[in-house]
Amino acid sequence: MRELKVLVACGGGIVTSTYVSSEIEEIARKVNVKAHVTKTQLMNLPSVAKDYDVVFVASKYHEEIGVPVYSATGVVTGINEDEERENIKKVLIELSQKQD
Amino acid sequence: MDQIYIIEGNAKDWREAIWITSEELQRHGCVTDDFYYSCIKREEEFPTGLTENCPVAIPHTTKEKVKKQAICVLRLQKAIKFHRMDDPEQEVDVNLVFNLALKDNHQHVTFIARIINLLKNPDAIRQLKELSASQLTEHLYNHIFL
Repeated sequence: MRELKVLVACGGGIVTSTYVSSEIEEIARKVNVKAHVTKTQLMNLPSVAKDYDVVFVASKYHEEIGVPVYSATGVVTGINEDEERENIKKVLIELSQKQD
Repeated sequence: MDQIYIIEGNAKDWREAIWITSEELQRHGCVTDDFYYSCIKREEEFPTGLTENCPVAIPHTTKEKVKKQAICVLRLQKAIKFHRMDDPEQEVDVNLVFNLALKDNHQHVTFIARIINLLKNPDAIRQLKELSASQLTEHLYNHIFL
């Protein structure tokens, strides 16, 4: 199984993306998906996203960047957190299976 | 050494709240002269107000503006509006402003996780609002740094 390349973005690429990255690493570990998680700023997404399998954002984001983008805002705010965590799990598992 | 500075007071809006906390951080030699300006610019573009259940904002800026890691908490007697992180067009009432002067090293991952986990806990929020200033310092120190 190839390692999934996951990109996490927030406004400044510092606080929330750091938190979301470590949470996604944890989720991936729990579901046995190999994932390499990188963080960045939202403004960098259009230029760097193509090198990744999936992007999670900790803010609203509507640009079309050719890579699936999912929200992880709830992981930070606690709103709809359980649903979002389930979705992150599902996305990681589906993508890893697709690549087998 | 990582420090927490607590200020009790009021601010007329989010800009002033960031000014008050940035000033304190600068006075203690934790941040560069342009930290405030940088925080404001970043807040305009990517606001950091959390949610109704968590009346907290976590302004911050890039590590280049940070000399020593520190957190300055402004506890407001009267809530002010911050724009929301998850939906910048919406505003949320904020009673606690955590200005985070953090460097991007391995340690700060732990600090951030502890701060966010603390803020997601409704009991913790209630305590943050009710504790005395000296208790609050100790409480935050224990929860974030130890």
